[in-house]
Amino acid sequence: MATKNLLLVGTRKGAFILESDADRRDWTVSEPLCEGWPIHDMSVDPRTGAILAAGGSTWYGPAIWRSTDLGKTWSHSSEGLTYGDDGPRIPTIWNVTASNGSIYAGVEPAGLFRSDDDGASWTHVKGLREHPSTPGWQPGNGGLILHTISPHATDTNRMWVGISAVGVFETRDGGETWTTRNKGVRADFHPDIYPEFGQCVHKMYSAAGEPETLYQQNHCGVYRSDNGGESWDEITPGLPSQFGFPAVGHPRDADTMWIIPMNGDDRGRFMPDHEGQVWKTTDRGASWSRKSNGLPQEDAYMTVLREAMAVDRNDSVGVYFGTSGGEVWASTDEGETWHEIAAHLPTVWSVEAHVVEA
Amino acid sequence: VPGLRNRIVDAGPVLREHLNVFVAGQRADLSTTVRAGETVHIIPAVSGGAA
Repeated sequence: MATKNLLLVGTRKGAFILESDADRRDWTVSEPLCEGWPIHDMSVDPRTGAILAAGGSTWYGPAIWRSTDLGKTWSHSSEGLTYGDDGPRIPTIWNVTASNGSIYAGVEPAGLFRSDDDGASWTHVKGLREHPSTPGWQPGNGGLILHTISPHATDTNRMWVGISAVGVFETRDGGETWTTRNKGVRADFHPDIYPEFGQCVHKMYSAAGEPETLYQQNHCGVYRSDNGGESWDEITPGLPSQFGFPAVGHPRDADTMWIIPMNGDDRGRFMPDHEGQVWKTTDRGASWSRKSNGLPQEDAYMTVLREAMAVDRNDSVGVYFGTSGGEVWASTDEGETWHEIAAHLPTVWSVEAHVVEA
Repeated sequence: VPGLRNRIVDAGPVLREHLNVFVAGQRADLSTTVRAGETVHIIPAVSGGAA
């Protein structure tokens, strides 16, 4: 059976699909899809195989795009994706995640929507914005955005979301009520550096095979929780910087993750020492190793944003990232060596890997 | 056309900020009446898009 590897790349000017065979060496690049709309996130609905793309046009507003033929043709909808005529306007969508027969969308200003009809129509998951902390929510540099949706792998009533700069919330009742999950996470920019909320989570995920194990890259460090977010332990020591955006986990090993530290929030947000590097742990953050083989080691002013890193599910896991300079890099050996697979794209906002059995 | 309203109208309801709508050649808003036979232009404004 032939395997086709797709890389779904959301950019500031359209979605792109990169395609390779099982070797993952040589990739073709599609034309800009989704009519060149700004696309913040792309993902695959595992139930239907549909490719989803989330974003918003300055002219036409927010929408979730959907393709059932691997990107050849697209439809889109934002029906119901509103806080109502009296509510704040929604300019764009930052995350789309399919789970358990539903599709979830995280929007700006921060809120969660659900579709139970494959994205044709959307319903506001109101409980989150009814949390008592809502009046105190403050935006991060990217706005007040719900950018991370991490469903619990086995308990369909549970889900974690990440909001900048508010923090992590969990629901255990299918979205009716939500609880802050920020204990132990620093907010260095607050008078009280351990507030109940106000933390600037950048990316978070629930680990493969261990849904109660969470990892997050925060504005102020990297953290792991072993209890579903009830408390967090900092795992920053060993890294060159506490600041970074993406965090991705191994598809079969909860102990292994990859991140890309940036040189700090006020120094340009480049890879440290302007040298290309990805950092990996295989022991839950107890130790870290620098992976730079194949990445440029001089004058590399590279920035990788929160959604612009991904792993595939091949036996030797592929790791991918896209840069704000429009490059896409790949490793087919779990981060040990890297090669560039695309350049000259618009600013990359998101990368997602999709392995298709033809 | 299903979904067309969402592309043109934002919460409020108001016409989206970076779209211009003309009825019979005159700038229009959501209160404008369209009479039979009149032409409606919906034109993306030069203020939208990304550099």
